[in-house]
Amino acid sequence: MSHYKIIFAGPVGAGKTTAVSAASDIPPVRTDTAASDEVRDIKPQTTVALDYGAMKLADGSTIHLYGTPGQPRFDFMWEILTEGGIALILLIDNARGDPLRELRFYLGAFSGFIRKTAVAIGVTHADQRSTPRLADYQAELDKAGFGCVPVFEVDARERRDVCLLIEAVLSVIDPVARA
Amino acid sequence: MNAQTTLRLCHSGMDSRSLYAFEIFLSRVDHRACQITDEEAADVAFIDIDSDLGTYLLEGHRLLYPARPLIVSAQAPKPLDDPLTVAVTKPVGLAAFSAALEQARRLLPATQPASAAAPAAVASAEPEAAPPAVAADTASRAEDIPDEMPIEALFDRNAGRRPANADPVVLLRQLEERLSTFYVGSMPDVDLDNPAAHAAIYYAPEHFLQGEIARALAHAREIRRPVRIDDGSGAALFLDPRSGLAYQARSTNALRALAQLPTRGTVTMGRVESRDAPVIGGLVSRPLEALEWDVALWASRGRLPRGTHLDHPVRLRCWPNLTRLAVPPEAMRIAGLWSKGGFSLRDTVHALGVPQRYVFAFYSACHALGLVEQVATPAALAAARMTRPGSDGTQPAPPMRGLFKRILGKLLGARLGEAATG
Repeated sequence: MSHYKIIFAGPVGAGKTTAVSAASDIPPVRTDTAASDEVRDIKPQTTVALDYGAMKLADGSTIHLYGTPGQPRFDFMWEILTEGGIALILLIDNARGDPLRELRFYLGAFSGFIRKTAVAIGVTHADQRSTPRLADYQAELDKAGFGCVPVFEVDARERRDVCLLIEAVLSVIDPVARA
Repeated sequence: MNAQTTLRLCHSGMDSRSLYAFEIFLSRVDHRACQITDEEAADVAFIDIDSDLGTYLLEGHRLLYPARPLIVSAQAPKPLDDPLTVAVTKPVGLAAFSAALEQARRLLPATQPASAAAPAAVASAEPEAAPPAVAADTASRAEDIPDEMPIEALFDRNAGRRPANADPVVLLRQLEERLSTFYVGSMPDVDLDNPAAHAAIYYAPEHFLQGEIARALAHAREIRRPVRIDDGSGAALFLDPRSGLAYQARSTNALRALAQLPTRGTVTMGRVESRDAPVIGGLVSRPLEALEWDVALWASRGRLPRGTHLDHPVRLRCWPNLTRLAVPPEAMRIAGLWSKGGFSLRDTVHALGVPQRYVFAFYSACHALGLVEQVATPAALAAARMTRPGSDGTQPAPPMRGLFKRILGKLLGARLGEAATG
């Protein structure tokens, strides 16, 4: 059976684990806490600091939801996880550090995958800090040559918000597809 | 009664929940007796005058359509001077409503045989025939409804019931379409190649509350102070561009009613003064952007701002923040198409196979927030011709479309607050 994946990426604390949990129909598998030095010595497919969830579709098939490790030291995992992925959800914490720099970093890190598929940006914690605004994110995306990309404020705990992000990214890939 | 005398009924003053219940209610009234249509095409209007703006709605409608019979509902109807108005007492029962319809029909001018005047409009008001499972569902629910049942109770009693074999995605889509009338109205498609039909698809935002708000915000930014907008009953809105917040002194339903009709001098603007502080302190705020979005959708009702070109490519500058704004029907697919560039409004309707009002309403709301523009350079027009979707349907579907359709079915359920897969 085909292994379809949607990838959730972004810096530590942006809400990837929460978002995967919110969208998943199964209790999510969380391995973030196990991401110690010892764990890194174990083979990748069982080790890894990642989050896993799944959406069960009406026909019995499954869409796998993977949250990538946020720490750049796990960046070797990113390429492995994106293999076979159909879309990227990039979450950025608006209240911490320099969000636009984070955006640039992750766009660069996943640029190959994004060019093959599509990306939607979820801006978290915008209620805690209102700047940068969504238009500032779009300006960065324009500068980086990604064109008009869905950029939404999200509360990663809200299933509706996460599902809207997924719906948006699929609509970019194939707007004609309809439920 | 036959199809020749089907009354075209528009409504005013109902929120989405009441509208949904009202449509179920109408399913118990002989479906050939009346059909919901848009305001301009209607023979008869149904107005709930107990809302905050009931009187305004009644007067506004009479001003716009002096010869149109009206059915008004109220808890305690007062004697009416207007010979063209029929009153019904709430909760409205089937017998009373049917009698009111018949009375309204008799008030129609003899030369206006209801739906016979424009059968296409009535047919288009129901863009897709309901699948058998859905029709059966509606009928079974309707059978459960006692003759004298308040509209609110109809909704609660029957929500969530469906036959076991019904396709949940079909039901969800039907629900979305019903709820969509709250934001995009029910204007039927028109022949876009017929210039005479173009009058129906354009509106002038400056003549509506949408325009009043735009002017008020511009003024507030100029004077660097919050402003208020008053309707006939006093302060309706307080707008503060510095904080990006709006304070709404009217219910959503009343504001919608105010936004749908041309203001015609009934709305005024003024500075917020210190004496307004206690009132504002008691109001809930919301982002200005969300208010502007809603008001633009309501004013548009599936139409385009005057001056919009049907064949110039649309460029989406920035996606609307659809997790925090109302999501009009098919908004994601329309935005997805426009984010690629090169598609005109006409092409969008054609490529996505959706009612014109969905595309036009979404464009109008995006336009109000400055998120879209039309590109009319020779290069853009040439590129648009290259990307124009073929009419023969020979373009192969992308390999994952089937998968996407299934995922979108799932997500539609999440969006509407239900589990799509049951």
